[in-house]
Amino acid sequence: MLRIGLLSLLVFTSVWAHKINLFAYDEAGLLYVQSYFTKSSPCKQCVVKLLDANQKELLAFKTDDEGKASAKLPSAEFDIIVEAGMGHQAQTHYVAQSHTKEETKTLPSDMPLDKMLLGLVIIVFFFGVLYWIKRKPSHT
Amino acid sequence: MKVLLASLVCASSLFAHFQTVMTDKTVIEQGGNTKVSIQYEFTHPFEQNLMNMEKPKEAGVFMDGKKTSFLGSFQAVEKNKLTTWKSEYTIKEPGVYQFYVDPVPYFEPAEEKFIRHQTKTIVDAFGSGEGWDKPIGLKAEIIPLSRPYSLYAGNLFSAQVLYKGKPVPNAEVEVEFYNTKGLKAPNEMYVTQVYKADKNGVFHVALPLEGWWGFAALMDDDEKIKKDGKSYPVELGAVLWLKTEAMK
Repeated sequence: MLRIGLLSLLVFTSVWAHKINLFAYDEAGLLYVQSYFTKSSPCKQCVVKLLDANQKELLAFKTDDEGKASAKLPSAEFDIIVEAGMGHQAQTHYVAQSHTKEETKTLPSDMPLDKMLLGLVIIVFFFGVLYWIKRKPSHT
Repeated sequence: MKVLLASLVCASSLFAHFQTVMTDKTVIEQGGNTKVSIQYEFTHPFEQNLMNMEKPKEAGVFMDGKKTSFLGSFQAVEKNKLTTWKSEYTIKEPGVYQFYVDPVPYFEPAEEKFIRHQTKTIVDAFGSGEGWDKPIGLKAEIIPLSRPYSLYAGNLFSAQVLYKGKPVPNAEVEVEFYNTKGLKAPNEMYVTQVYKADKNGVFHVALPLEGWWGFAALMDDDEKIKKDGKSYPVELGAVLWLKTEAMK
């Protein structure tokens, strides 16, 4: 019993001592993540998850042996979680600096009705004016 | 008249000169602002009596074993018709950043000596956790033995005094609080507190209040500086600043 107590104390201590740190930045649409216990002790092969506002997983990947990983930005804002097992976890809310929304192309079928009507009115007016000029008798 | 002048000299010598290096933040966390504003003053911290400071001869940051100078970004700030300095540095990666300054030695006519305080403060970025106890290679330097950027008011702070990289036995360390709270000392003896290091240059100081604390280990330098054809001794100071926070 005493042994179990001592063991659990040791585990508890190590959980607190091994705090995971998370450093992230983005550049040109790519997210760079670095995770470590201390600077010279990287979080190797740790799972990184990107979650949306509803905590739905957008992307999951692993760090390399230097505790580093990169991925394409999934959205402008999300949560980053790094898991290292044994209850070690780091989490942060991340707001991307270099995320650009893809430009939505306006297809003819997407064109709003009022814009189409305005275009038709302009065309009718233009040809109407032409017809009126040609029809007008010249005075000699 | 002589008595008055003598007493004025005595009174002024009671107030210790401190070079300062203070940052607007001592810990940088993910998602926070990574631009560090740094303030440099030559002052009597408890009394808040400024002195004029020339543009330093060397200043920068030490990280991962490398010094980076950013003297070019220094801007003069006038306070009470005296010059202080400020600069900014943007942190881009995890690490422990030691901001330092080596000022132009100040000539103190009353003591007929030059004062040169090599000063630093230490900032952690993104929980890096390593390097706060590393010397940066100043001729005189205080090496923290307690992590300097996460101390509560009331904590005990320990450090070691080095001169040319070696411990200074029995070093005398002056300690002052950067008193922006308008606190009054019971008497002048309480303005600057004095501690003695042990044979290994190690000293311990309890820090009762939240705010900036300065530690100055003063020693006689082996170099002299000439002025008007005369050689003057140099009081070399190893100075460290750290900020304590209140436990709330």
